[in-house]
Amino acid sequence: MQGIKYLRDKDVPFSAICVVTENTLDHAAELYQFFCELGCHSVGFNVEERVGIHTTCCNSTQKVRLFWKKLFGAWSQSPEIVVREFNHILTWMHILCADAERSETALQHDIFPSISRTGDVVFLSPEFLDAHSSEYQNFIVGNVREHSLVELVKEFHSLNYVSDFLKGVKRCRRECGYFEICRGGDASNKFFEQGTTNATETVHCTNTKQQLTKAILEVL
Amino acid sequence: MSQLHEQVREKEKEIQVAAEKNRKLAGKGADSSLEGSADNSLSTLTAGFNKSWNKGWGKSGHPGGN
Repeated sequence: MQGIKYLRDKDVPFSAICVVTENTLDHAAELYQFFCELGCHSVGFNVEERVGIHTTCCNSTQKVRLFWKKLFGAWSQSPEIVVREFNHILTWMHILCADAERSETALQHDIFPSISRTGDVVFLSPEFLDAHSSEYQNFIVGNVREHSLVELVKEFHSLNYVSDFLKGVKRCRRECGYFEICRGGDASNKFFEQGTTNATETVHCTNTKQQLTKAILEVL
Repeated sequence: MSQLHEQVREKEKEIQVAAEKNRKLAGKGADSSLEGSADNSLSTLTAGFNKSWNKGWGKSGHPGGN
């Protein structure tokens, strides 16, 4: 909080991320008010998810939806800061309403290279830097002390976990009504929840995309 | 048209009001990675929406990851 005070004193804009656990799901309005008073420009809410050694996540779909409803209600009554999730969904909805004839945009996935302190490189999700998988060679593509990042990026499509992920995304596109919002989900959530990146729906996408969208439509 | 598209279009007016509130807030910010700048053209919004995913906003909350 002292660090934030320094930012505020010097008029440096900042954003915040809040991890929402089972215990905080019941306090949406209070959370929103807290971040308004904190003085951040925007806030993102990450509903607790299963990642790495963290094995618990919010499994109560109804509670999660109620959380989003109350949060959106609080934001609608007093829109003081950007809420990342509302920003994203409202932008998508606005585009959809404004452009009835639009064609689906080409799907592009960011390679999203992440580099560890020792120089190891993983793609798709920074969470893979700490992950262990014999099938996916711990997700490590190579090391920037031995190869240039440009050389490593060329390997993107030859990696098993990338090709598995892209197969899962194809199925997401075919099977899920929320595909346009989530664009096939996150590779790390798929792996940590289901042990493979070749997967479709996860608890994470249910909580943070589907329930969020339903909640906003119910409140509006 | 998908069921979700229908549900969204049924709330078109309400969405416009909420999206406008959001756009004003996002436009105030210094973070150019947020979609919803002062330019409210459809092409800009669409580009911002796509850009937000390409920068990892969808998952980690900010460019650069968790």
